[in-house]
Amino acid sequence: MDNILAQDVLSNLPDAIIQHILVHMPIRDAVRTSILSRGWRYKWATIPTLEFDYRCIPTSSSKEDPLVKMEKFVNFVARALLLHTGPIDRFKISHSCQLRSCSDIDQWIVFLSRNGIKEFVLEMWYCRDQEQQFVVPSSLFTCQNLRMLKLRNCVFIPPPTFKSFPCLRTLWLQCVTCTDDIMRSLITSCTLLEKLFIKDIHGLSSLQVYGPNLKYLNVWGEFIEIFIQHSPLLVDAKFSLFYHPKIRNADQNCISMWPLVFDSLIHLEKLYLHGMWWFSSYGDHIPERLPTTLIYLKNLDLCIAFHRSSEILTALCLIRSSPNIQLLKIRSESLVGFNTEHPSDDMDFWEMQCHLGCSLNQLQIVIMKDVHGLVHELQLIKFILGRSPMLKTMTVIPFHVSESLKDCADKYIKEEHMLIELVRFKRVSTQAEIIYVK
Amino acid sequence: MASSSSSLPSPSSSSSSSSSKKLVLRSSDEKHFEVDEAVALQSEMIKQMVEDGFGGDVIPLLNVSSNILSKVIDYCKKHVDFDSKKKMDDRRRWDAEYIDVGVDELYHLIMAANYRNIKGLLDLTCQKVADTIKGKKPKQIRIIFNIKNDVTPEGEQKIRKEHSWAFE
Repeated sequence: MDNILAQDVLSNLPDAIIQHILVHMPIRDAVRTSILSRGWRYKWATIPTLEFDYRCIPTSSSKEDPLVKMEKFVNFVARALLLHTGPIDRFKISHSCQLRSCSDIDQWIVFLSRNGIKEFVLEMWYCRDQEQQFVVPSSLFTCQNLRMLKLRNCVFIPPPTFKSFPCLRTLWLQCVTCTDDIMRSLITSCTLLEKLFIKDIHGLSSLQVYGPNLKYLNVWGEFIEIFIQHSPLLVDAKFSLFYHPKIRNADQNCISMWPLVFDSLIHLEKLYLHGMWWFSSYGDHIPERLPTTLIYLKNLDLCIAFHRSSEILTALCLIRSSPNIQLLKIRSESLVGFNTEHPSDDMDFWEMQCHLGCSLNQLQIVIMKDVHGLVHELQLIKFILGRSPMLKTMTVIPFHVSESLKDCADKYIKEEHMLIELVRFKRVSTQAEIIYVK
Repeated sequence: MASSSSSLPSPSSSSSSSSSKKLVLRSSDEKHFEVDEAVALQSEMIKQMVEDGFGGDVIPLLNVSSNILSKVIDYCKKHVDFDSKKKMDDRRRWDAEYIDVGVDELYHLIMAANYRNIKGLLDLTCQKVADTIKGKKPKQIRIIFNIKNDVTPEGEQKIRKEHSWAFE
């Protein structure tokens, strides 16, 4: 933008728009507008959103002692809060974990709590040692108007007097330390919760979700159990499940995880699943279909480790139980370089699967990513093409072999074989296109 | 796209998706724009007017000139399209090109987005102004936006001292 304005229209914009402009820049720049003219002097001080991060401190001080930098940061936040007037709807602090030694945060939150803060974000970075984590001050639990709470890298232990955040709509927790009981009672007590994001929670192995208003759920981590109950509005769910050391030792007779997770997910419209082996890790028999059909499911997004037959069976179970999917995305997570295939056994496996009924009458778009050309991957493509009369496109994106492995690329990907097979497969949809993306 | 005649363009003359419902918008310089309802409803103000029963008439936009209105309609059309396709990268690229305009046009787009209450366009335009201010010295900002410095040197010294934590 090199041209200039004929007259000063910016200063004369309505205050609401000037606030809108000021919240779209780092707060340091917003404060610095106070010097532009008399009219600009106090404009920044009424912005309803205060976000403090590394940009509060000039980049020239990057080589300074971390403690000096931390002091500067704390001073910045304290001064800004002192000069600010009017309501503060959103407050965000994003800083390295040195801030844990800062006792001022407690007072800031008391101040915000009295101001009826609605959105609170506290993100601590680079915290390797859990014992060094910042403990969320008890003042946070007095913020009864909170609609959004996002915490990263801290210890979350509510005081015994804490009942709930009655207005909370969005809860976002990452690398937070708490317990099964704390998490359960927090989720259960915040009955207006609509969005729940849980990633890498230390001390959480049994997740219990009770969300009468929950619409979106994103779960990422190691769990022994997941219970989702009374969540009739849940339409969008993402699960990324990883190995929990206790799973291996779990009682083989313990109840199956299948119905517990999926029974209350009947209203789902979108589902993402990574780590499907989790469902069969209890030695469960993988059912042909789920006990309840996911009739509302339109988008299904799966990561499949094709070298594990349990994952393929789980994927097929989900596909069969979702008769109305329109979009199916599959990412192959196969181990590369390991030839685990036994072609004749694999063909027997698919012959059996093909005898079990399945029709995907609504399916229009399929995207298969990171395909290596393995028998199981290609058979799944064949399986889908043969059962989707409305299919428009089947996009196949081959596994990307990095430059350093180019010489032995054929070990990782059987491209020619894949192309020959792909054109041979029968398509029940007359308009289906197979798109191969290099 | 704009027709300067006072009579409305007939529905059959419209190009794409002629089956959907159309609305007619009138700019401050009396030009008429026929747009799909979905495109016009990106504006909360127009949505409110349609809900209040003004949908069948020509909707006058007294504060928006035809060249700005046509640019605003471009934005709404493209974003109706993006909403159906959900391609975030394409959207970002298109937005960046769209907003690469001079400060004068930017100002008029802000006013139009604010008046018609189009949240996406207001965010985009305000972000552009914010990005222009970001990292610049007060002197540079004053030149770009033609802001008259009415603070005395002593006054400026005082403000700098009061906000020293942000000026170091």
